[in-house]
Amino acid sequence: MTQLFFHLHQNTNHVRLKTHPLLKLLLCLLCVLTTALLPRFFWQGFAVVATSLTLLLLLARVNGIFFLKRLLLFVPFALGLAGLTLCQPGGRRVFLDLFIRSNLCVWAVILLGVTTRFSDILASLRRLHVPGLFITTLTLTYRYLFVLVDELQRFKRARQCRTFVPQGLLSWKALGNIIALLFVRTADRADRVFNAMCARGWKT
Amino acid sequence: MHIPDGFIDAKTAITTFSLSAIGLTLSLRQVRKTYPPQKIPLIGLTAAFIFAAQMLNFPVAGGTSGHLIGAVLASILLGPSAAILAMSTVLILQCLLFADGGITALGANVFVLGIVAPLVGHTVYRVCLLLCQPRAHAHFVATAAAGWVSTVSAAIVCAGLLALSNTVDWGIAFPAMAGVHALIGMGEALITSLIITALLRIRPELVTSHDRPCPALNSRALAPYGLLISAGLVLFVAPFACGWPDGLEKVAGTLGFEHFAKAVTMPTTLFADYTTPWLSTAFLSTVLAGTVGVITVFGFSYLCLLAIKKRADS
Repeated sequence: MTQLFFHLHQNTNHVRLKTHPLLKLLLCLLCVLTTALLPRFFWQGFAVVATSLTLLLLLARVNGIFFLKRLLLFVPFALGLAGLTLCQPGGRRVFLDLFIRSNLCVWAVILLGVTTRFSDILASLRRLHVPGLFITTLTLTYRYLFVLVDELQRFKRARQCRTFVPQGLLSWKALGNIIALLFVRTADRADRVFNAMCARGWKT
Repeated sequence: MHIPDGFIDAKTAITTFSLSAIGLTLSLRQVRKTYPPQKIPLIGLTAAFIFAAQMLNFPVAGGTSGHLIGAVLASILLGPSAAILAMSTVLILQCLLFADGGITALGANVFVLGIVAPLVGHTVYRVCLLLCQPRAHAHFVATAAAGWVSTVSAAIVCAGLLALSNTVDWGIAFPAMAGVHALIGMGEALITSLIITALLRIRPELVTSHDRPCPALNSRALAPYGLLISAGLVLFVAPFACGWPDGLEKVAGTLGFEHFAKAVTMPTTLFADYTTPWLSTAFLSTVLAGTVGVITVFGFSYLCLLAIKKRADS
């Protein structure tokens, strides 16, 4: 997971598609919308979307292994939900349809994520007059996400160094303590962030 | 419970998007009005915290593992309005950065996990806390109940959305989602209450200080959210409620005193068997009957609450 985070930052730098972030966001939205709303069992349509997305992915020189890793994160989940349809009559075709459809949409989102920096997306959202409080929250979440994940990894490593692997109810308790501690640190950090924001002239 | 793209059809997507937009606007307005400014960065950081905490797996029976959903945790730590904001942020980031949950299904995911789960959780938490307050383990019990109820209710709404989109039949989606999430909910309940107990031990002010922006069961602040969730229930779950006779009707049929009931039925009943007589489509008429029912019950309970409050004040 941490490797994926790392990739997420690295991958945006050497990618070729340099268009306006808002345009890319809208194109991705359009692609996902058409794929999601194509009539059921319209296999030719899926094929067209798949080829064009593959072309774009090749054009953007997306790292193949990275792409597969991202897909693997998603596949078991979609299989689980789509698997429910297998229990109903004529479910096998519906299952195939849903699985292909959702996979194609994920391709489009991965393409967007790889070619566009999230801060650019946020900037274009701000231009679209999305409420400021919401943008502030999104920005702060994105900024501190990686910091907190790192902190969590350090907690886990420190605990693994010092204790045996806890089992049963004890492991739950240990997990609860770690998460509680992480929140304490988060709240303290939020105080510091607020002071820093005020020092730089932030107003609600 | 993140619904991917392609599982939600156009009408469901549009409905959920508008309901989520209303919910988000309400929560933004409430946060701006009632939240102390120095706590605003905490919303964003708590969203990041929940995101990070969701990555820790805990062991569930049989070698599988689940992870925290965090809706109840957010609503206890931040209060309901800010929790809606934080959870929606988490969902949007997961959708755009990790392709976890689809873009067309974003409205549905925000409604289920960002609005229904924290609000139901918060209400259950408050009510349980009021009921077992003097006891030592009040917070533990209240958090556990809130965790379980919010997970299961979110799963039921999710099943309703899938059935409404004609993706999965209600007969399969409901037992599968509710059954699996009844188990997941137990894990969620245990881990959330362990976190809250640990927090109460190390830094109790972090759990209790956020009561002030939204005091205990503030009916005026919670009322619009209650209406929103009822609208969701009427739209997504009511159409699939079972058409079989309920327990009493069944007993009446078996024991043969059904005709007594028929004889005393009031001729002026407006919505017999939850349908509107002058509407032909079954779906629309159930929804309309449900809406009228919800508004009536809502108005009645609101009046009751006002009366109780007046008596308590005097």
